[in-house]
Amino acid sequence: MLFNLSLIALITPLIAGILAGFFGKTIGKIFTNGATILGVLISLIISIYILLSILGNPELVFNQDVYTWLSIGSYKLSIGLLIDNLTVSMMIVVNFVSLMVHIYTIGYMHKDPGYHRFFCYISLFTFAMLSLVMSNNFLQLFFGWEAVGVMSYLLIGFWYTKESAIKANFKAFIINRIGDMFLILGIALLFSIFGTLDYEHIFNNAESITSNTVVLSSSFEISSLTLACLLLFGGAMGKSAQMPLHVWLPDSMEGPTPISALIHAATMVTAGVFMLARMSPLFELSTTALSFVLIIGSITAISTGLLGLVQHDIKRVIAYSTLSQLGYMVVAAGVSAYSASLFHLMTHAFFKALLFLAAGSVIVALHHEQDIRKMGGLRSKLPITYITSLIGSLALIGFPGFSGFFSKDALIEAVSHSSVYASNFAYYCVLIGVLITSLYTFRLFFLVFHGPLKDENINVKEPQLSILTPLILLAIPSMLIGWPTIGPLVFDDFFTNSILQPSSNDIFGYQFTDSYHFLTHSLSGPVVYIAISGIFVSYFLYVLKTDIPEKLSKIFNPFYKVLINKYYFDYLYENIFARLFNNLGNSLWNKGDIKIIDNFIVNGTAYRVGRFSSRVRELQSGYIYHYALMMVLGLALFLAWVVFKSLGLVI
Amino acid sequence: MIKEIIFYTFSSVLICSSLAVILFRNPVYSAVSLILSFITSGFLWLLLQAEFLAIVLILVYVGAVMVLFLFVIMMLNINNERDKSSFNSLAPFALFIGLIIAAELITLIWINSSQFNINSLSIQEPDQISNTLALGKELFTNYILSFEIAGFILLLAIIISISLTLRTRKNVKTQVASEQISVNPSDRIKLVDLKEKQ
Amino acid sequence: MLTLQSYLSLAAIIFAIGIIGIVINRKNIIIVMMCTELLLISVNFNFIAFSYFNQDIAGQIFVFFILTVAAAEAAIGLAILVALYRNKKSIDVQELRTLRN
Repeated sequence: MLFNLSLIALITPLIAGILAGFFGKTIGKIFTNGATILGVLISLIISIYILLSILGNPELVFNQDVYTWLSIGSYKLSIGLLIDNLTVSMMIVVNFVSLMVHIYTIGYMHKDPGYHRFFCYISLFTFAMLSLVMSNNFLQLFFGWEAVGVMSYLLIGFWYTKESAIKANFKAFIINRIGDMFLILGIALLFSIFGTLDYEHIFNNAESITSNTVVLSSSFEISSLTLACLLLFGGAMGKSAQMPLHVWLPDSMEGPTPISALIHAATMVTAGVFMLARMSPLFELSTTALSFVLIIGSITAISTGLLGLVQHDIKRVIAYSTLSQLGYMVVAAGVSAYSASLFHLMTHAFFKALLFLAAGSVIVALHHEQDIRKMGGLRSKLPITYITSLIGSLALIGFPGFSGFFSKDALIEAVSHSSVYASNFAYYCVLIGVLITSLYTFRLFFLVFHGPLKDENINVKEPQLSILTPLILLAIPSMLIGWPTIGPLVFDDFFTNSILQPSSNDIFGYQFTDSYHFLTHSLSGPVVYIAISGIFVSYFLYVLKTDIPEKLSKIFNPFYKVLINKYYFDYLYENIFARLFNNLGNSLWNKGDIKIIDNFIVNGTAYRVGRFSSRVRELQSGYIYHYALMMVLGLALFLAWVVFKSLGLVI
Repeated sequence: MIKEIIFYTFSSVLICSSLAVILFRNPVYSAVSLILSFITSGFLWLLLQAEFLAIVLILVYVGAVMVLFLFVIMMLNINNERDKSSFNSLAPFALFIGLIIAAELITLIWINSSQFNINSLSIQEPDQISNTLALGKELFTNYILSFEIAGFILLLAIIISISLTLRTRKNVKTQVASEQISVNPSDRIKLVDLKEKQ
Repeated sequence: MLTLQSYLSLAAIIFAIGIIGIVINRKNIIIVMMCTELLLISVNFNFIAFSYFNQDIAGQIFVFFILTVAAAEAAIGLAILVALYRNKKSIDVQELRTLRN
């Protein structure tokens, strides 16, 4: 029963997407968005139903193959579904945000010529994301991983006549390729060790290979489990945009805003975090990999947050905020607090989607103006957007009582109790990160909604209902979802059947019982006060004394330059790696391809055959008696052979 | 004894006439030499009790095929202008190879003679049944299918020869019977109503 | 005493003469065809000799068919020759070089 239902939940967005893509023009706009919204709605309802059934009786969790896709000898690669608490919670997040974005898109894209295409893409994206989270093996995970990558590529370049969009989607695609290469290497390593790609088999037998090593060179061996984890995390770094593979995410803001909300904030970029949680039985066996994860996550969390402080594009600020929050999630995974990581993933999906959609609402209201220096004082013009943005911002910085507060504080709490190598470093990183988060969040908020109203924005008014509805619908969970869910999700054993959490790292189980308890505990810690002080600082800087930031940027000019150039990552990639590969490719093309392959092997072979043939052609004199002579010669030789054979001279 | 005399006489004639075939410059002489070769071969075949085939060789080959050759030679009229260079530059080489082949063949014949399993004593004198009758019995019983095919091949040869050499000449007046019998009176006679002159 | 070998040797000599004739001729295709007839005759000699010395009539049957096919071949070959002469005005072996290139 649940099996069939989950299949339906998986397939409906696919069907809706195909319908919208192939028949969108014939069935019209209303049917297009109707079909796709219906598809996602069905999927969402089924997800909720599955969650309720599983909560009632946990034995309904299942892991079942749908069909065998391929079998090579004794290797069998199947397509299967693994439905457990982790999957179901991801399904609900994905479907809910996707549904909101679908509704939002009706308003946001209603004048766009690519309306049908857009609905097709986001429905297919939903399908791909669902197949990623519902898979029970690495192959299907990889399929979903690549499919969301493709959809992300298509959607970043949705306005394909815009050069910057094309460059951005190209960049995203290439950087993701680097990550995907690591991922598939990791999968291949696991396959070579276990001979299967099935999660269950690999996780159950992971402990038996802890002493296994891979010889990288004669003097350097590495535990194969650690190597596999590092490679898998390499994939997660690409998809979840961790340092140093983060550069594609800010550029991906060239895509339409609903996409930024759905793919580049709420769902796809969290796939890496999801994968870390899913692979917890592997990562728990390798402290090296965990420390690596932790360090990468904390560096990302703090450094990308700083970049958010100097950006002027409303969407880019939020994009850097996303990067920073992804860093938080990865940090949590690094200290084995997977449930906190996933909890933050969930709350982040809601409030970040809300922030993006609110930004989109502002952008629509200002006729596609994205520069925050041209905004200001929009509070009175866009009241609903203002309030929902406020809720989203408060949730983002972790204001007590909002969803982000619970998730982020739980996460920081976990880091503070961790004993993994580099956890102290990570703790200070995330603490500073909290301050930075609230600084850039409220900088953005104050610059957009407070201050003097610009003259050209006098006639601005709220956009249409389909844009505002998702804002309100997302604001509610952003505000409230922390209260009821932190208990079961983080403190209780909601995830125990899908995530391996060693009891030594389980810092929540014995400390807290419910959300009130946690709230009171957190108020005695520094995190909340740091966050609130950040609000005041940014109010002071960006509302009261607006000339200070400029002076600051002049005083700390070298530092400011580093930030505005995004730590020179793009410069580095473009001028060193890209140029290197360009030169390499050019020389391979000129020397290898043209000279050796084309001129020597391909044309050279033809040329030599031609030369040889023209020599041989001289034999074809055309005289009949020449041919006759040759025949006779052959006959004579044959007879000679027979004679010698009869005489016993040859064999 | 008489057989040996006949054999050696006729075989020397046969070899000489065969050489003449390839050495004469005039193709007519060559053809006539070939006729001589066929006739002497026929005699030699008679020695081997192949009477029917000897007769057929002389009748069909000399009577028909060689006449055809001669006819073509004369029709094409190419026999007169022949220069000295009637042998090509490969001639010595060809001669050498030909001799080698002959030597090889004869060597083979003599070194393999033990494998022929011939018991000369078992050769019987011709019995009551004539060679022609024996051949006919075999042909029309065991080899009837091949015989039919041979007939078909001859038919094909006729058709091909005719179709290759047939050509339609221009400006030759011929009757086409099919057109003649399918004419309409109206095509031939046209009645014209002449009005009186006024 | 006439043996099989004498007949076979005679046939071999005729065969060699035929081969030499084919190769050394440079003027006339008709001569080439006559040489082919010589080759056939020598082969027939072998058949008949074996037939006689083995007392097996099958050899003569073969000769019968060879004669039939040879007659057909001669007829067709001459017809081709006539057609060739009409087109080229020559049956000179040295001028017929269309096989080249």
